[in-house]
Amino acid sequence: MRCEEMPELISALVDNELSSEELAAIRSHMAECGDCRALYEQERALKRQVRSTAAHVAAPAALRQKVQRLFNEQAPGKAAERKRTWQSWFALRALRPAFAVMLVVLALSPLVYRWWPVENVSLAALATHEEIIAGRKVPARVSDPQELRKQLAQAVDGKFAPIALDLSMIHLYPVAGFMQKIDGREVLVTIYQGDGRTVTCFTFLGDEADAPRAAELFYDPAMRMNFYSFSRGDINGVMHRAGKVICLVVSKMAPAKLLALVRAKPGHS
Amino acid sequence: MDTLYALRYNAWAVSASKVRNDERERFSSEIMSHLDHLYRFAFYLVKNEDEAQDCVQEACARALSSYRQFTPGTNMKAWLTRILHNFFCDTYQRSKRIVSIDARSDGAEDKESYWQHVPIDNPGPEKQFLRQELGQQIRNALKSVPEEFCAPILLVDLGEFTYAQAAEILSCPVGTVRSRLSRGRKLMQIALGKYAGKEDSGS
Repeated sequence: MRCEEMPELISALVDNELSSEELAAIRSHMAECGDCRALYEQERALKRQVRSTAAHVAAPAALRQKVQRLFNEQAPGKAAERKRTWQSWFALRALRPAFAVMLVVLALSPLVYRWWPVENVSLAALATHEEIIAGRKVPARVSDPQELRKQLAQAVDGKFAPIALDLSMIHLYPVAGFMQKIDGREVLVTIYQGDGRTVTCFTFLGDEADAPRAAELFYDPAMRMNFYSFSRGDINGVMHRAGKVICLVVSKMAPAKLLALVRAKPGHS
Repeated sequence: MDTLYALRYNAWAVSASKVRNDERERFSSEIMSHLDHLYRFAFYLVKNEDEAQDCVQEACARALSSYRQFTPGTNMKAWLTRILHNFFCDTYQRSKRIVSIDARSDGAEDKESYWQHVPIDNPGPEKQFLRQELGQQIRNALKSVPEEFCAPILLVDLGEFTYAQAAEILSCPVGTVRSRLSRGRKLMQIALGKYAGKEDSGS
C-alpha cells in the first residue's frame, strides 16, 4: 500500500469506518510509516477540535421562540394546508434575490422574447423532458435495461449507443426510451424513474459547442472533463462529452445536485 | 339508542383528539431537542447567523408539513437534517459554482506550521487563551471550505452521524461521503495552515 492511497483511509480510520481488511492493511502500513502515523494524529486532533469548537454554537433564543410559535400555531399533519402570506415569503431572506431576478425578468421579457436565439439541441432536450414529466410523451416501457439499450442502439443503426448511467443509489432505473430527431439530428432518449422522480438522459453525436451559450462551464481536474450546466424554467441539464458522444442529463433536481450526480457517475457508452 | 350512539361517538372523538395532541407534543418537543444541532449545521452551511435561522425555521415548518411521512422509532435527527439540507440545496445552491479542489490546494506545504500549535493533550488553564484562538481559527477554516466538502464534516464530526447516515442525508453514495470527508479535512488543514502562517509572520 502506497502513502498516496492513505489519506482517505486515515480519514475513515479516525471515524472508525474501515472494514476489517482495510483496518489490517492500514495498521501494517502505519507500523512502518511515520508520515502516515503523523497524519493520523493530525486528523484525530482536527476532529476533536472541530467537535469541541462547534459545540459552542447554539440555537439563539429568538429562533427557539419562533419555532415554538410555529408549533403552537400549526397542528402537525394539517400543516400542508398552511398558507403563507406574501409578507412571510418576502421575509425569507434567501428568496429575496429570486424576487429581484423575477422583477428584472418581467421587465425584460419582451426583449428576451425578441432576441431569444434559435433553439439548439440541448435546449430542445429540456423541452422534451418537460413533455415526459407532464405525461404528454408516453413511450412504451421496457423492463430489461439491456434490451432497452439494444433497441435504442438499433434505432440509430448502431452508430452509437445510449450512455448507461447507474442511478440506482438514488433509486432511479431506466424504464423507457425512444429516438427523437431534433433539427435533423438523431438523439437517443432514456428515461430513468423511481421514487416519483424522473431523470432523462439524452445521447447524441456532437461536440461541446452543442451546449447552450448561456451554460455555465465546470472543469473537473481529476477527470479532465468539462461539464456544462444550464436551465430552462425549473428544468436543469448537465452536459458532458465522452469521445464523440454527448451525454445530457436532465431533471428538476437542483443544478448543483444534478452536477454532483453526473460528476460522480459520468456513465459510459 | 340515538343518544347512546352520540355519546359513544363523542367519547371516541375526544380520545382521538387527545392522542393527536400527545403526538403533536412529542413531535414538537423532539424537534426542539435537535434545534441546536440543526442551527449549527445550517450556520456552517450558509455561513451567516440570520440566514441559518431562516433555514432552520423553514426546515421545522417543512418537517411539520410532512409529519405523517416520519416513521416513529426511526432517527428523527437524521430526518430533520435531511429536510434542512434539501431546503438548503433548493434555495441556496442554485447560483453556486463548484470550485476545483486543486485550485485550492496551493500552499499545502506549509500546513505543518499549524499543527505545531495544536494542543494534543488537555492544555492547562494558562493555555485557555490559545485554545480560544484556535477555536476561532477552526470556525474560520470551516467557513472557508466549500459546502460540498464541508457538509460531510459537519454531519460526521458535529452531528455524529455514520457515513451511511450522512450519505442518506446528502443523497449520495457512501464512497462519496468518505472521499469528500478526506478532501474536506485536507482543505481545512490547508486553511488552518494559512492562519498559522499569518500568525507566525505577525509575531
